[in-house]
Formats: sequence, C-alpha cells, structure tokens
Amino acid sequence: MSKNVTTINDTGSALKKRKKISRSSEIWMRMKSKKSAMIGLIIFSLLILVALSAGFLVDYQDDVVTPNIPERLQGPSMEHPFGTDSIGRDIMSRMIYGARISLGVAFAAVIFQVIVGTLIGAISGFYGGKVDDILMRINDVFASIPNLLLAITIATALGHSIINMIIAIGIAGTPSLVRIVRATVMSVKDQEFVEAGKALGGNDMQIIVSHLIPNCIAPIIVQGTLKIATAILATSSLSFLGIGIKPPTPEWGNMLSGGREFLRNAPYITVIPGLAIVTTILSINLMGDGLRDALDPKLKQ
Amino acid sequence: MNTKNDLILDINNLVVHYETVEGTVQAVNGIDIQVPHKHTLGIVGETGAGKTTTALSILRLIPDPPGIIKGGEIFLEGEDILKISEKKMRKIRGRDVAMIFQDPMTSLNPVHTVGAQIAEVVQLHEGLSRSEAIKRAGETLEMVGIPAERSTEYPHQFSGGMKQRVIIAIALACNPKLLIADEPTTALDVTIQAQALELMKDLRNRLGMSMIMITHDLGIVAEVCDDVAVLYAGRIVESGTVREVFKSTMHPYTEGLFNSLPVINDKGARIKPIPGLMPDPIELPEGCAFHPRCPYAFDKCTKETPELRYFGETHGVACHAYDQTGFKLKRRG
Amino acid sequence: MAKEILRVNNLKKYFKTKRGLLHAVDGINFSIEEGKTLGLVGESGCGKSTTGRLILRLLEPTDGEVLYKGKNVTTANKKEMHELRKEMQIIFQDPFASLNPRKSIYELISEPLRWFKVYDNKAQTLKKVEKLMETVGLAQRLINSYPHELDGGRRQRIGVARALALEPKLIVCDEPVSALDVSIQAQILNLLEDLQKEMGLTYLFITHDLSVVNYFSDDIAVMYLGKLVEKAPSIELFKNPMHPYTQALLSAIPSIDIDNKKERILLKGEISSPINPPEECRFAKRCNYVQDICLKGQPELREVSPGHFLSCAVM
Repeated sequence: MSKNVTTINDTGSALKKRKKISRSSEIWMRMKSKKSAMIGLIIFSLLILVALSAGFLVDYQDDVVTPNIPERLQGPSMEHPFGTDSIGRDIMSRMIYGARISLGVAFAAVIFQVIVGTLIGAISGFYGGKVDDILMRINDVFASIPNLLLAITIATALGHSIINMIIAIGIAGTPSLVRIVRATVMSVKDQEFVEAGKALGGNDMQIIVSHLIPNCIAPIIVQGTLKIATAILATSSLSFLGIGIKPPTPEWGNMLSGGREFLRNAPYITVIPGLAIVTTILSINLMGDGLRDALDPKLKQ
Repeated sequence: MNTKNDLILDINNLVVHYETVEGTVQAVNGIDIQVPHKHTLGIVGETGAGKTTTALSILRLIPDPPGIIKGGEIFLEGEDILKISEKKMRKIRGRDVAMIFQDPMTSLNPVHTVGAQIAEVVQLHEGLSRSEAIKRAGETLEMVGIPAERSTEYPHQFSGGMKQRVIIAIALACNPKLLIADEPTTALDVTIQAQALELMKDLRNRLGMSMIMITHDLGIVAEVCDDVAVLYAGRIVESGTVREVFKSTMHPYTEGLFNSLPVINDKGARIKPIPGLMPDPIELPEGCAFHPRCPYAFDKCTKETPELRYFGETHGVACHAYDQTGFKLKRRG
Repeated sequence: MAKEILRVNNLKKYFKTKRGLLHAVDGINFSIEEGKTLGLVGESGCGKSTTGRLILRLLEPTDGEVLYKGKNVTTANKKEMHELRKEMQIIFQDPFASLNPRKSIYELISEPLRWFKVYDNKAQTLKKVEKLMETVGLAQRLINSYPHELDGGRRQRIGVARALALEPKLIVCDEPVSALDVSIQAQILNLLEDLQKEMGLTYLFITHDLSVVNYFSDDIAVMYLGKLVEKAPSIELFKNPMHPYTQALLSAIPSIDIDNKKERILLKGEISSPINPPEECRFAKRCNYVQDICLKGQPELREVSPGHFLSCAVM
C-alpha cells in the first residue's frame, strides 16, 4: 500500500554493523570498573553461597544445636576454626547456619518492603491529591517511629516467629521505600511518554505497570540492596535483644548476645558474629553504592 | 583570496576526534576556515555535522577527555592558538573571542545578578575596579536594549528573549574581535528571534566585529552572513559568499538542504527530502561521506574523499561530480 | 461538501497558579472538515499545545465543548472515551520524551493494539506491527531495537506508527517535526502527507513554524495568548495577512531569498503574561496599530471575506 512512502535508505546509517552495547552489559561494565563495588559483590556472593549450601557443609542436629559440654569454651583450633561456645557447639557451624537465617530473614523482609513500598508509592505518586495525602500521612506516622523501635513493637505484638519477624522488619523499612518510589513516579509521571500512553487509550493500571514502574526499577534495586544491610542489622538487633530468633536456632544476633558473659575469657564468641555482621553490611553498602553509580547515567562522568 | 593579515581567523586542516568507549568519533575531519576582519561567516549543517566542535576548538574548549584536537592550526590574528599556554588562552577567551551558546536558560548562573555576571568578565579581562566594572555592565546592558537599572536583577526575572540579550551583553562586554554565536536563536520564538538577530546585526556593524554564526537555519544565514560554509560529517562540502552558495549552489548536499525547505510562495511544490540519514561519525562511509545519500554519486565517490576545489575566487566545493565537464545540479525552482 | 469531523466551541482552559488564573486557552472556536488539515500556529505559551490536549481530553477543559462527529468529547464517560481514543490520536513533538526508553519498538507500537485487544493472538499483532513499520518506513530488523538506539527521525516514525495503530480518523500533530533536522523534517512531512492521502486522515497540525504549516495545511488559524486572532485558507493568509500579529509573524521568518529582502516588522517587547490578563486586546501591548478601542477588549472572530476570519478592531 505504501509505495510512495519514503523508506529510510539504510546505507551508511547510524545503525550499521557497529557493535551495540546493550543496556545491561553497559551497566555491568560500569559496575566492573569500580573496585570497591566488585569487592562488595564478591564478598556478598560468597556469603550467599555459604548460606545456600549450609545443609551440605554441616549437620544441623549434631554440629549446630546439640550441646557438647566437655568441649565448651575452646579457642580457635584446627578442629573448631572459630572455637566453641559456652555449651560446646562449634561456632563455625553455627555461623554458617546463622548466615542462612540472617540473610534469609533480611531478604524476605526486603522483598516485602519492595512489593508493598512500590505499590503504595506508585499509587500515591500517580494519583496525587487526596489519595496521596492520606497515604503519605499514614506513611509519615510509620516513618516518624525509629525503625528498630517499630520493629520491636510489631515483633512483640505479633509474637515470636520467623514470619512475624519478617513482617516486623518489613513494615519498619517500608516508609522510606514508599517515599523513594513516590518521588520517582512523580518525576516520571509528567514525562511525555506517559501522556502518550494515555492518548493511546491505556487505563491507569496499564500505564502504571507498563510505563511508571519499569522506570522506577533502578532506584528500587539500589534501595533494595542497601535495605538488605539494614534488615540484617535489624534481624541481629532483635535477636540480640531477645525478641527475635531464639536460641538454640543460631542467628548472628543471638550468638553475639550469647557471648556477652564470656567476653573477657572467650572474646571470639562475640567478635566472630560481630565481624560477620560488619563485613556483610559493608559489602552490601559497597555493592549498593557501585550499583547506584552504574544504574544512574547522570553520574556516568 | 584574502591575504593572511586581513584575516582574524584562519583555520587550517583542523581535525578533532572524540575517543569514546564505542569507538573514535570523527567529529571534524580537516576543515579550513578563513574569516576576514568585519566579516560574518555562517557555518551551516545538521546535528552531528561538527559545527559546535569547530566552534569550541577555536576557544580550545573541547572537553578533553574524550575530545582530542588531532591536528591542524588555528591562527587568531596570526597567532596559532593551539600552541600557546592555557594561561594565555584564558586571556583570549572572552576578551578577543567570545561565544554565545544556544540555550539562554542554562548559560546564566541563577545565583548572581546579571550585572555581577557581566562585571565579572570585565574585571577579569580589563582589570577594572569593581565599581567601574559594574558601571560598564550597565552600559553594556543599555547597548543590548535592557535598562541599566535591571542589572541588579537575577536571571529568573528575565524572559527568554531578555536572557539571550543578557548573554549577548556578556559576550560583548569586552569588545571581542570575534564573536562566535552557536545557534543563538534556536530556543527563541520567531518574533523574538527576529529581534535578537536584528540586535546582533546592528551591534556587529557598530562595533566592527567579526562573527561566526553557527546555525541549521539557512534563512538566518541569508539574513545575517556574508560568507557561508556548509558542513557535512566534519568536512566542508561547500563554501563561498552567501550569494554564490545560495544562488549557484554546487554541492548535492547543499542542494538537498534547499530542497528540504518548504517554499513559502509556492505551496504546490512538494519538498524533496534528502534520502537516508546522517552517517555514523564513528564509521564514516569510505570516499565522500555523502555518497550513500547522493543522487549523483558514481564509482569514484565511494573510493576517494573529494577535496575542496575552487570555482572562481571564493566558491569552493568538494564533489567529484565536477570532474565531468558540464556537470550541473538540477536544483528545484 | 465535505463533512465536518471536529468542532470546537468556546473552548477554555484555565490553570490555577500561585499568581492567579492562567488563561491558557480562552474561548476558541473552529472546525475541521474530514480529510483536511488545519494548521494551528503560534509562539510558545500561546496555548496551541493545550488546545491539542483538550481536544483529545488529555486535559479537562474549564469550559466549552469539543465535538467529534457531533459527539461531545468533553462529556464522554470512561467507556465512550476509550472508544473515542481509537478515532483520535496524537503525534508528539519530542520523539525522545514521548517514547518510553525501556520499551522496544515492538512493545511501543503494539501497546495500543494489546490494550484495545484488537487481535486475540500474538501472531496477528506482530503482523500488524510489521505492517505499520512498513507504512512509516521503518526497517523490519529494527523491531527489537530500543528508542535510544535510533535517531530522531526514526523515533518520530515510531510515534507516527503508534498513532496509526488503531486506525484513527483524526490526528493531532503537535509540532511533529520541530525537534528534527531539516532534511529529516522533510522526510516526516512527506510521510504525513502521503498517509493523509492514502488513509483520508484529518490533521490538526500544531506548530510555530509558518513555512511548514503553509506547506502542509489547507487552513491556518493563528493563535496569540489563548485566543485565535486570524483564520483563513493558507494561501489567502499568506497573500493577505490582516491581523498585525500575523503580519509580524510572517515577516519574522528568516527567508532564504537573498534577492527579495522584505521589510521586517519588528514587534515591541515580548508576549505578555497569560495570568489574569486584562480586558484589553491580548496583543495591544505589542501592536503597532493600537488604538483606544483595542483597550476595551478583544473582538470576536468575524468573517471579513469568504473563509477569512479576523479578530481585530482596527484592521
């Protein structure tokens, strides 16, 4: 039908042969060029690997939970590289299983935050007006309570269980994510392609899902990553305070707490989980910063 | 042709590349430009033709990295500015050569009054005291048709057209010998553009400046310039006086540009776009960069890059088609 | 006699701002016949883009009505509006901002087809997308490319393809070529012209560029600060501009004709603020012919010669 429509003559065009660098590989290249980010990524990947393979590395019943009084409070040795705790359990084995709990709870909590936060943030930012006002005031109430206090309150109210802990930490961390998603949505909402979507007959949900959220993914990924660190810290803090994961289930926070009385004679019981928490959080923050730089083209130079 | 001392600016074989991750962008590939005193040269070309790169080279403001001036000479009143120190260059910028940028909204600093921004340039280059500089700022504003009292106002208090006047005032504050205007009116409305062009023409004549007008709008060239150079893919494809280039167009690309314009007085005439797109400056086609889009291209065009050759004193064209005796473009109308 | 496809009656749009009511569009009337092109010309801030968006109801008007084939667009309910979207489309000015950078060309062009569930299977949708790409002159192999990999001209072709996807009758072209280079601009203009001929499209062509609009339009309406000041067939308007603003606008176009230098009418000052505008004629402050009567208000458009409408008390 379109004989007389000038089709672009493609010889010598900008699209010829030139190797196209895809978006994801471009991000990866930028990420790779940052040493600190790569160190963070490597440490964090190792930790996840350890947590995932915990079941293969140690026997839960024998090594992790069963007391072995004769071997209590032994310093690091070939047999127990990290030593043993006050009732003779191998700290290394407990650390490995603890990683699974700490990271698992943190991941689950962050997933909760991302889902709830994106939903509320996107609705609030997209509709604005009264909807926004109401959602934001509720959000502000949650945001005004210190995260940990909020988590403690929720955890106490819901009772002890891993699920409740995930919910507690999830809710506590959601308000700041809502803010970020809302801000991003508001900046994307006024762009012309959103209007173009409306003109093409898209309804609100179609536009939110297909235009707004994809453009908020970068900040969500960055925030989500950094939030894992906060969540790990919260998990450990709650367990340390005794309202999170209860012994004998190993968790870095309660291990830290369990070593307190022996700080003078057997400092390794506290130092090792403490170091683990610090290293994990550091690695996540390094990785998150690198990711932010890699995803935000404005900081490219 | 002009003798060397008549020229304020003499660029020889300038080559500028940008080294990027994806490859080397060949932005400017050996251009020669001569601007005699009190003349206005129009540099015409589309996005990516190398217009702005050429202008920035004259001020040595090419962002480095990734930009590298690979070769060539830029003589400003007989002195090769590519060889002088950065310190000396800084003295030249703003005093001998001034530049007006395209976007009046972003070229002014929002936290300083416009008077202070003009005074700063004057102080820097002419060693005037603060109060003298502020007085001069007022005078300069008057010159571009803004009351001197407004020198204490901030950029956001000015409209777009007024801001562009302020930018012109900053550029003219030190009486530069050469003014480079990079698409100075593109961001303005037609009626405001008319005012700004009128002002620039008037000031140029009064101050006896030379000017380089970079634009994509052939109409502006016709209004303002004496000479014109048409750029395509980092090379000059045609140059000469405005009359020569507009009335006896020789290069197929220039012809294509004219044919792309709707003719005001002839509604029936269908515009004839140039087929295809600007070539990728990372991978310029071999031979003449225009050959894939050129209706007259033949074998030689795909192999050899044509040099600029002169027909008459000033009219240069870089096209192999003129190897054939009696070759003529079939320009519309 | 061609059928009227669009009629705009006393259309108004005021925006609330901190400094008062911004009269973006202030009571305009016009109509377009099927298959014709009306050019809407004016400078930035005159309300021409707002008018385009009001017609498509991307903005809610303050007052007035938009009739598409006699059906009132401004009062249509959600379902009716959804149906009307198929009939009326828009091509945006900025081919960079109007395409979601995270969608491939296939996703972008197929979006309206999927949203309206035009086809029940993917193969048919793909076929339609390929056909649309062919229509607008985009090579098939680009189907999985992303907008940022393409130049402005190709992106604008994507914009055109999206607008055509639902086979509309009326297309609002909001400065469709202003962001493009001269040679590419010409390609898109020719494409739009061909599409009009083939599909019998009606265009509302919004632009600030008079030479483009003259080339493209059957009629031209000139807008200044929310009001229409003159409307005439384009040949008539260019030959015999009557409103002082139209005259100045026409004379301000830089001409490539170096032999016939025309006398330029320079206007005083700049466009005044559309916020709480005074009673007087909107153009009075810049007009070279201003008289006392102009300060009393702006006259309605009246027909001064067949088809030529003017809103000026002096001329």
